[in-house]
Amino acid sequence: MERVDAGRWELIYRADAPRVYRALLATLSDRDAARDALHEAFLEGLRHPPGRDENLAGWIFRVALRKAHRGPYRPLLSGVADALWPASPNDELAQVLDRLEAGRLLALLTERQRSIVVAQYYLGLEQSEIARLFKVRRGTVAATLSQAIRRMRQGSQHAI
Amino acid sequence: MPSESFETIFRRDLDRLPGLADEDLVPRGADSARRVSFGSVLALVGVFVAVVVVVLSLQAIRDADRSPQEAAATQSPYFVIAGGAAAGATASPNPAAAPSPAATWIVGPPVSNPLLGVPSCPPGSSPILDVTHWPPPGDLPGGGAPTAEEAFRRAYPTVTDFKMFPWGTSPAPVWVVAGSETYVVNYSGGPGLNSWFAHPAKYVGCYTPEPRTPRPSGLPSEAPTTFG
Repeated sequence: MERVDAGRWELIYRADAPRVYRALLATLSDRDAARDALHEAFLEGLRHPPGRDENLAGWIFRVALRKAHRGPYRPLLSGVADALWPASPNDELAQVLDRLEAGRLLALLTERQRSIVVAQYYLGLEQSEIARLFKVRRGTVAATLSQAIRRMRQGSQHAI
Repeated sequence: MPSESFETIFRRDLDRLPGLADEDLVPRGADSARRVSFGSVLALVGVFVAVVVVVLSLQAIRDADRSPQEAAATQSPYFVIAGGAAAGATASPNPAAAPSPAATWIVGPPVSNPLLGVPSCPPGSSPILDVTHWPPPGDLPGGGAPTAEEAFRRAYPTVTDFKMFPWGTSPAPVWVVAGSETYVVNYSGGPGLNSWFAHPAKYVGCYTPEPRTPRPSGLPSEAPTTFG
């Protein structure tokens, strides 16, 4: 696989990073975690640039999600931080997501479902690309997406 | 069911989420990219505390398992300095190593042969050494040797047959036996930076600190204990 030149990595990264950051916000619902994960993905790209045939937004998204989950303590301690500082930036993010239809729909899903829904509907990845990036079978992606769509439809009907 | 496609909803709505400032898209150097969030700090503190607890527990278990002889053998000695002008006479103990003022000295006989290894004392007591210091300027950090062995070889170049015994687990002091002569090698200040010095030393005995009640203020203090 041909590699992206490390020297050009920042330019390429900057083109997709804003969109991937919002995708991470929608998936993780945590501003610090999203920013840190994005930075980790940038550094990972410096060390091991993705191949030229990779979907770069998808690659950054997948690497960032993996980095975000590297520390299993994060969700617990983020909860502690939110408890200690009730007016945390994540509250504002939660309010914004709650005002948006997409946010309300994503709130019905598990994080894994959110990541695949966001990858498909926001980042525009094909199911085969999602399967390759997340290292799962395409059938798994299709099944996860199908469950997520069902939940979102049911949730929308209840909301009405 | 939403009237619009999910794709439309997500593309429209998620673009409204707050973005990152341009300068925040890329970490400011590798270090800032690894900025530690509150959660990470807590986790690191937690890990650190856990490691300290485990280490202290292991240390306590190890200490509990040690025999009294081992425990005694690793007690740091108190040095009794016989300084240049007062050579042959004993003086007050090295202030850095002196027992606390709330203790008296009860000197007992040695319980091990100092020619065979580090002098040991019964549990609860510590060895006392009569150390002959060099004349002034004395031991100054930087004016010694880089290691204990080098310090001894420099100080006594004619003594080639000697054995060195570390005093417990810390790097200093080191007990040196050369025939019927004994020496102590210690560092001044820190173990690095040419700060090791060797001196002749005799094993005086063991002392047991004995707690006593503090004296009322205003009364003259007792005369220092001397050994002749």
